[in-house]
Parts: sequence; structure tokens; C-alpha cells
Amino acid sequence: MIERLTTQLVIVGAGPAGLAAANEASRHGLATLLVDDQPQPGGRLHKRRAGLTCAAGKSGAEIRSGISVFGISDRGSLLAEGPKGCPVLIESDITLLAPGAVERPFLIPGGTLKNVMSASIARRRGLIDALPEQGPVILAGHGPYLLATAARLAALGRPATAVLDTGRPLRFLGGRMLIGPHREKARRALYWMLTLHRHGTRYHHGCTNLHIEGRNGVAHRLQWVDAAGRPQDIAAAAVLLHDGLDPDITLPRAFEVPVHWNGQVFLPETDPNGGTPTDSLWLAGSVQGALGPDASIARGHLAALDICARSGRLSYDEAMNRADPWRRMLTREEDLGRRLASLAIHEQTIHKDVVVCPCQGVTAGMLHAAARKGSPGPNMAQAATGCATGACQGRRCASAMCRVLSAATHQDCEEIGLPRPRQPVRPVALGVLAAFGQTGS
Amino acid sequence: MTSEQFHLTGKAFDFAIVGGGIIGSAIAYGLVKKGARVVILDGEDGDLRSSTGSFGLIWVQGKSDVGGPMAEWRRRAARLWNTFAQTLTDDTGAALGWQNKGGVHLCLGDEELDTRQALLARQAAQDPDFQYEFLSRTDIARAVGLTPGLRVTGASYCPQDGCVDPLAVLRALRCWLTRKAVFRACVSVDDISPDGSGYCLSTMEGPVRAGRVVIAAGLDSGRLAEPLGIAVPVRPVRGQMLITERMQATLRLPVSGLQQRPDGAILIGESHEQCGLDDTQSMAVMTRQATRATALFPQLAKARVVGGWAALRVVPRDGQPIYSESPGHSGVFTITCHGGLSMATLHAGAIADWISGDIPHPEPAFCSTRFRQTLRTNTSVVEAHS
Repeated sequence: MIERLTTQLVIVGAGPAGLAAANEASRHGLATLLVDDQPQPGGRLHKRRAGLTCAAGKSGAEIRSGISVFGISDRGSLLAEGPKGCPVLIESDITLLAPGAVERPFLIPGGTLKNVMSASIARRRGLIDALPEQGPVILAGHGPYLLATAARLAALGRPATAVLDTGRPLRFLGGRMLIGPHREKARRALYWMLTLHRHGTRYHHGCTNLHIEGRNGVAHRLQWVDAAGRPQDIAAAAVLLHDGLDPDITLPRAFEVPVHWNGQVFLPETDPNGGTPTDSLWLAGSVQGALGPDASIARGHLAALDICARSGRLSYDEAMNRADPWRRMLTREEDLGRRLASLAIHEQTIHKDVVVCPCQGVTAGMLHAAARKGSPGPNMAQAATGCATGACQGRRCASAMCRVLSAATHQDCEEIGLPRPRQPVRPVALGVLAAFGQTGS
Repeated sequence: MTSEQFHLTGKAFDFAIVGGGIIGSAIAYGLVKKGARVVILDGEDGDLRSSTGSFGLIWVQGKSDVGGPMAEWRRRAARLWNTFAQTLTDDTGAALGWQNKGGVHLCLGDEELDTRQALLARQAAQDPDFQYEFLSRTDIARAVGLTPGLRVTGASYCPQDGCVDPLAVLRALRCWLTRKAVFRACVSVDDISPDGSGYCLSTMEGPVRAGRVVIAAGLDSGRLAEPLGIAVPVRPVRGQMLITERMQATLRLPVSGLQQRPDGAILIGESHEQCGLDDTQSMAVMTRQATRATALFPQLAKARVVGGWAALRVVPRDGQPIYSESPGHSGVFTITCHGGLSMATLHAGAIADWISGDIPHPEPAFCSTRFRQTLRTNTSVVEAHS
């Protein structure tokens, strides 16, 4: 009944990092299995999906879609739920986790009203299909993905009425960007801005104090304060929110990979090749910090080369030689990442009415109250409010909970930390879990 | 409150309670209602917390196997739950998920059914108030709302059984205590020593003074109690639980190891593992729990499990509570037991009365002198005298 898969290297996550790593590892003769929970590989990629998938397949890697890893057995095997609810057990010598990033929720009041959704979810639903046929569409938040989504909307013939960006304008990066090492991306960003301009989408920077007003539970207006300090408002039929991408550390934490707060986000502890303190475990891709697909591809190759070197498929010298171009690419992307980070203006306070945990309906105010009423730590606050105990198990809200507790107790997020990791890391049918109990894995 | 404020409150507290779990909080609740000035010192966020491992059953049926005063103590505690839940809800406005519609214990195979029948017959002989009946497979389906699996041969039903949301109870008590008493989280107590007519507790936030001290720190109680002459032979037993997504109404009654919470999520528990101080989840145990749940009710196979957790419960050596006052230091008490949630009614009631000095020990059999253990105190080796 249980499908048993045995391999030398298992890669969890078939986004750009996972695909690149599968390609590289397979090429050097390592038996590689790449699993992903989505119906098809590629992660958030669109145009490059097919190319990368093909390359990975051609190199000899086995790619299995529709497999959701929900837990780790006591011996270290991966337990998963396959398509049609079949139990899958994966045994391998080496594990590479490339789970990617999750969208950081833009925590403003009214964020859980109807017709308000994250840009990521809207794109997954086909973007246009997720929006009402008529009425002003407003985008709000910050990050390259916000601009990309706005441009996509315009290209599909349904341009947004306005984008409310909390950060600084792109021109702050300087005109040299158009001719320097990042010129391709800079030119694309400029092209997107021009597209938006052509389609009448107004782009506002330096927006603060955003909140969405609803009528009968449906969003109908956005209010904010503009860069000059003037209150503004705009009618909205739908609002798409995005505030950046954060590493999805749920599965790494289940493997006891330590994480640290870097001021904005929790990052897992890895060496430059994605190696972790846990034996035979590597990480690659946006899970190390979201820097876009090129960085993820580079990281995938670097991790795979390191794995091949450690397992004797390649000499260390050869691995280093092959790693050189990828390391240069990663350095370039890290540089761009730092420049883009300088555009962000992070508003630290989260308004009390904001729903921090949509699964359980826990607001920032409730977390504040719990902290004052004897539960200031993440585990106790979780027990007291139910935050991070719902379907997403904290994937979306644990970092936000930490930020709220940090504000309530005047302690740094690093000190507060996150609630203890729990299994299952993904929802799994009780029957599938039971299947493993019958045979005893 | 800073340490200066602890100092500056002038008079010391009447009671200092070490441990803000279900036992410490229930005792504090009782003491505050009697008009006492109470401070509760709760541990760190990452400390072991037995209270989070409670499944929430206030069970009457089948709980007489330990016999003697334990059976009677449990009965008393369970009978007071209706009033306790009502009062706590009135005091705090909190929904506790208290349900007293009875509970079902399923039996797999004929042998289990026979054993169960004998057990409950013995219980009925000891307790004339105990009500129960045995259910056929059809009865089970009607009472619970789901068809039992093929291996289920029958079940016992007791209308006096109940269940409650343990975290809701803890939350309600804690909220109330932060208003009516001084509740301090993340304060570890290093030492308790005599100070004039009372005691001084040294903590990382400075000294705390109180006339009487209650050590209700679960598995950590021995560290503070034994130097003061109270034996606390307890061992940790791990319990794991699984929780599903919210579902439509499926289980009408709590069934052995399964209950549906008011918000629709189904709680699956409770395992019992001896593994020392390891409170991490074991996937092997989780899968066995899932196997058992689907054997009991095959229709649950489609329910989606979204999370799980483990906690170390406290089990005294002979299974009975430890309610003891220090022989050499009057006014220092240790209160620890298995099933602190069920006992909360008596902890807030008779135990609080005893700790206040209003009544003698409500059940002397539960003194730790029964262990006759040799203890090392700070200054010398003393026999915990009889």
C-alpha cells in the first residue's frame, strides 16, 4: 500500500533551485529523486519552467509531482502524501530541501476582507480569474513581485488602477543600473513601469498608514498617507497585497536546522553551499533568502556540486571549478538583493486590529493582550491564543506573531524566537498517516 | 513588576505559588477568592509544561482501578465540575467548551469487552452513584454519530463523563489571575528559604517574600521541595496528540481518545510513553494513533490532520497525588498529581482551604510521608519522618 522510493539524493521542491540541483547532481551520476507538491514542476516560474524541467529530466533525475512531504520518520525517512491520497515513504542517503519562499503577508487593517487577497494566491488562480470583472483593482505593499504582478495585469488587459508601494522609487537605485551588471533586470523593471504608465496605472511610492475599509465584509476603499504626508483614499473592487517573500522554514525547522532573525526575517543557518549543521542535509534556493530565480538556480547548482564533492562523485577541485560561474552569478544577485533592500521602508508597528493568524482569526491585539496576561513567549502565546495552530501551522503567521510579541515585550525577535516546530508540517489525511502506522516505518 | 516593586509592595504576599500551570492556577484561583494576596511565578516559555498535554476528559467511568482514597477523590472532583465550570465562566466570561453529555469507551474484541464489564461492575459496587450502560454497535453509531470499525465489539457509556478545553480553562484562569493577583511569567525560582515568619523566594528578578509557599511546578517540583524535606517521587510520561482541521459536526460525544472540539477540530490522543524527559514528537507514535483512530471509526480516514504536539505528564510513583506540607518548614506545600485538570475543582476548593489553614489535610493518605524516602536537605541528611 505504501509506495517506497529509495534514492541517493532526494530533493524536496521543484522550483528553480530544486530543478537546477537535480540537473547538476544527476549529471555527475548521483541517483536523484525530485519531489514537489504542485501538479507540475517549476515553482513560481512561468517562461523558464519548461526549459529547466526538461534539462533536469534529461540529466536523468526522476521528477515526481503531486507529492506533499508532511513528516519525518524517527529514522529520518520522509513521509509524504502522493496524488490520490497514497502514502509515500522516501528513503535516501542525502536530503536537499528547496521549499522556496512564502509570501510575507502585508499586515494592514482590513487585510482579511473579501476581495482582498495575496498577489501570490491571485496569480495561482490565474490572476484575471481571481478578480471581479469590473471595478478598480488596487495593489499594495512592496517588492519586485508587486511590480511584476501589476505589469502582468496590464499585459492581460486588466490594468490596476493604482499601486501603493510603501518603499522608495526605483530611481533611487541610480541610472547606472541600466548599463551595469543588473541591466537586464533594470531594463525589464523600467519596461514594466512604462507599461503601467501607458495603461494608466498610477504608481505611488512612500505610502504609509494603509488600511482597507469594508462594507458588509467586502473591501470597497483603501486609505493611506502619501509621501508628502497627505491623507489619500481610493475606491477598490479588489485589492492584491504583497510585502515580499520570506523563506519557508517549516520543513528545515522540522529537521532541527537552527534559524536566526536578521532584522526582517528568520533565515536558516547554512554555509555558502547550503550545507547545514544537520548531517547529510542541504538547503538551496529562496529558503536561504528570497533573491529571485537566478539566485535560486545558482544556489541549486552550488548545493548539488557540494553534495557531489562530499559523496565522492567529483573531486573537490573539479567541484570548485564548476562552482565558479554559479558563485559569480550568486554574488551578482546578492548585490542586486542588497540594492533592492535599500528601497524598502519597513513599518514596524502592526495595528491592533490586523488579523495576524487568518486560520484562527487571531489579531495583533489578542497577541498583545496574551503577552500582558502572562504569555509573552511564542509557545505560551500560541497556547493562549491559538495563533499558528490552524491549517497553515504558522507558515504564514509565525514570523508576524514574533514581531507582535517583540513589540509587546520590547524584546528583539531573535530573543523571542518561534514556537517549537511540530509535525505534520503539512496537512495529511488521517488514513494516510494510519497507513504508516500499520506496517511500522 | 521589577524586583524593587516586589520589595516595595511593603507587606509580603500571603501566598507565593511556584508554577502557573493548571495546578498552580487553580490553587491561586481558590486562594484569591478567599481574599488572599497571591503572587504566581510561572516559568520560561520553553519550560516543560504538563498542562498542554491534557486531553480534556473529566472521566468518571473506569477510573476506580487505583482504588482506595484515590477513587473517592476523583469522584469528588468530577462531581464538582459542573459548578466549577459555571463559576469560572461567570468570573471570566470565557467559553470553556465544557460538555457533560457523557462519554463512551470503545472495546475492541470480546476479551476487552469482558474486562471492561468486570471493571465497571467493581466500580458500581464501590460507588452507588455511578451510572453506566453498555452499548451495542448500533447503539454506538446512534450515540456517537459515526459507524464504529469492524473490530469494535461494544462500548461502555457513562452519562456522568464530561470534557472541557484544557487550554481554554488555563487561559481563563490566567487572565483572571493577572487582574486579581500578581501573575509573573518567565520568572524562574532558584531557591526558597525561611525569612522571618515567612519565606523568601530568590528569583532572577530579585527576592519575593510570602507568608506561605506552594510549589506546583510539575516535574520541576522536586528541585525546590526536596531540600525542604518533601519527597516528590514523580516520573514523566509523554503524551502525544493530533489535531485535525475544523470539520462539520461528526462526533456527538467524546469517545476514548477522540473528541471534537467546539470549533470543529477533532482531537486525537492520548498516548503514554516512558521516555524520560524527551518531550519531542515521535512519528511512530503519531502513526499508531492514526491507525487506532481509523480502526475505531473508519470514516475518519478522510479527516485532515493539521498538527500535533507532545507534552510530559506528571505521574507520581504510586499514581496518587502528592499533597504535602514540609515537616520542618510549616507553610511550604507541594501539590502535584496526574490529572490536574480533573482535580482543579478540589485544588481550588478543599486544597486551597487546607493551604490557608482553615481545614486539616483533606486526605492524609496523599502526604508524601508515605514514601519514607531518605532526603538530602541543604544542611544534613534527614529521614522524611512518619
